[in-house]
Amino acid sequence: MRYGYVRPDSLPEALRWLAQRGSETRVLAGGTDLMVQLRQKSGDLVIKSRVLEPGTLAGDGIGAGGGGGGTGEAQIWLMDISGLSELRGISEFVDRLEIGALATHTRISESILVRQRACALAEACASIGGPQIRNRGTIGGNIANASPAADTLPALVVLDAAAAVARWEDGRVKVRELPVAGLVTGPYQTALASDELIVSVRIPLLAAEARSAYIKLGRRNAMSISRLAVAAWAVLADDGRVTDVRICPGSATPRPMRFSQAEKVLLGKLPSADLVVEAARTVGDAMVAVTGVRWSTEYKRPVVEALSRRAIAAVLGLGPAGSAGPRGSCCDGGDRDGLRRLDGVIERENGR
Amino acid sequence: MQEVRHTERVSISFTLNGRPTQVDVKPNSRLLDVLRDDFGLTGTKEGCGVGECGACTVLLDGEPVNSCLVLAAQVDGHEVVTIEGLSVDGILHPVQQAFIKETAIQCGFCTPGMVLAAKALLDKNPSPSREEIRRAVSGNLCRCTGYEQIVRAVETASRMLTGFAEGGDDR
Repeated sequence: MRYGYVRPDSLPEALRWLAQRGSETRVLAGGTDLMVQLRQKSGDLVIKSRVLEPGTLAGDGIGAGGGGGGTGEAQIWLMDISGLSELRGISEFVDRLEIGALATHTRISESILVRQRACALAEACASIGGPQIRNRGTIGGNIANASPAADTLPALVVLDAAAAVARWEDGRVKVRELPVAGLVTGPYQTALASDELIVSVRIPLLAAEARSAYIKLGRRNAMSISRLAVAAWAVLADDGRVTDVRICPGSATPRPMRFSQAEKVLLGKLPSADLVVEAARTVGDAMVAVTGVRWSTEYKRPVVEALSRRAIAAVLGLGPAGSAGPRGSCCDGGDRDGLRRLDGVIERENGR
Repeated sequence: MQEVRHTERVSISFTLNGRPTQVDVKPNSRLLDVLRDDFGLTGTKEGCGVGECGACTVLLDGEPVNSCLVLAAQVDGHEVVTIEGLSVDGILHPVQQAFIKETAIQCGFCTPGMVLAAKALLDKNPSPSREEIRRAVSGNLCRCTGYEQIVRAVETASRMLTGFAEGGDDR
C-alpha cells in the first residue's frame, strides 16, 4: 500500500481536499485508531468509518483505477488535521458546551467545564486507554471510528449530544448538525460521507442540576477496551422525583442507543433501592432483546445489571456523597468503593 | 498546504532533545522508526507497535505519547524528547537516578518509557500520591518488576526534586 501525506493549513483547505479526493483519503488526527488499522494484515485499507460511495471503490479495498503509478497500485492519502487548532477548543455558551473534534481525551477529562456540566463525558474520556493514548486520541476520532466499544458514545448519547459535520459546498464551508446517536449507524459505521469532517460536538446545557455518570468494566483497570459500560443522566425535581432520565449501555449493542423501557421505570418516581434494581433489570432484559441470547449473555446480563445499578444510583443521588465515577476520575471526588458497597447492599436485600 | 506523494519525502523541522533538527521522512514513517533508524536513538523501544505497552513512549511537547502511533510528519514544528534527552553531559536525571537506587530496572525494556512517563508526571505534579503515580504509568507495561519498585522510584525522585533528598549513597 502506498501512502501520500497531505497537511491542510485550515478547515476550508481540508474540506476542499475531501470534496475532491475524500474517497482516497484517511483522516489522521491523534492516530490511535488509524495507525493501528494501517498495520492490519489484510494489506489493503478498508475505509471503515466513511460511507462507501458507489463506483469509487472496488470490492473491499482501495485500488481499482486509483491514482498510483504504472503498477496500478493505488495511493491512499493520509490527511493530517492535527494542526487545525480551530478544532481544539472547549467553550461554554448559554445553552450548550461546544467541544472541538480535535479535543483530546486528556483535555476533555481534565476540563473543569466538562467535569461540572457533562460529567459522564469527562469520566468516559478519562477511562480510555492510558495517558499516552489520551494525550493523542480525540473525541472526533472516537466518534468517527465508531467502535461498538467506544467510550465517548454512550456518554454523548445520554448527554443528548450532537455532532457538527462540515463539508465544502458552493464555495464555502457548510455545517450540518445531527445527534451523535444518529451519526453512528452500526459497528465501525457512520453516516459521514467521504467529503465530510466532524468539527465539533455540542452538548445542550438545559438543566443545571442534572447528574451524569459513566461506569465502565474492562479486563484491567487501565489500557482496557470497554467490555461493558453504562452511561446515565438524570434530573430530579424539587420533591426528589425523577423528571428526566437517560440510560445508554456501551459495548452492549451494535450501535449506542437509549434503553427507554428502563428509563420509563424511573420517570416520575421517587428514587429508591428497589427502583434502581428494577430499572437495572430492565436494562438487562432490553439488552438481550436487542442482541438476542448469545454465549456471552450468561455473563453479560448480570454484569450490565450491576453496572446499571451503579450508574443509576449515582445519577439519582443515592450513593454515598459523590459516588459517581470509575477509578481514577471522579467528577466530585466520587467514592467508587462506596458505590460497590451500595451495590452489594442492594444485592443482598434483594436476595441475589 | 503540504502535499507529498508516496514517491516523495516530507521535510520536517522540529526540536529533538533540545536541538533544532531537520530531516526528510517518508509520508508513512512512524516517529518511532525515524528516531531509531534515522537518528540512531534506540533508547525508544518497539514493544507492540499498536500503542498498548508504552515501551515506545516519548515526550511530545512535554506530554507522553506512543511514538508508534505518531506519524513522523506530524512532529513538524513540535518538541520531541526521548530518553536520551534526559541526561545532560552524562549526568543522569533524578528520575533515572531514583530508578537505579530503588532497583526499578530488571530487563530494562520498559524503563525508557517508564522514566519519561514519570518525568512528565513530576513536571506537572511534583508530589504525586501513589495512586497518581500508578495512573501516570498505567500506559506502560512491565513484565519483570511487578511495578512496586517503579512506584517507589517515582516517590524517591519526587523527594529528590522537591528538595527532600535522602542522605547516603550516590550510586
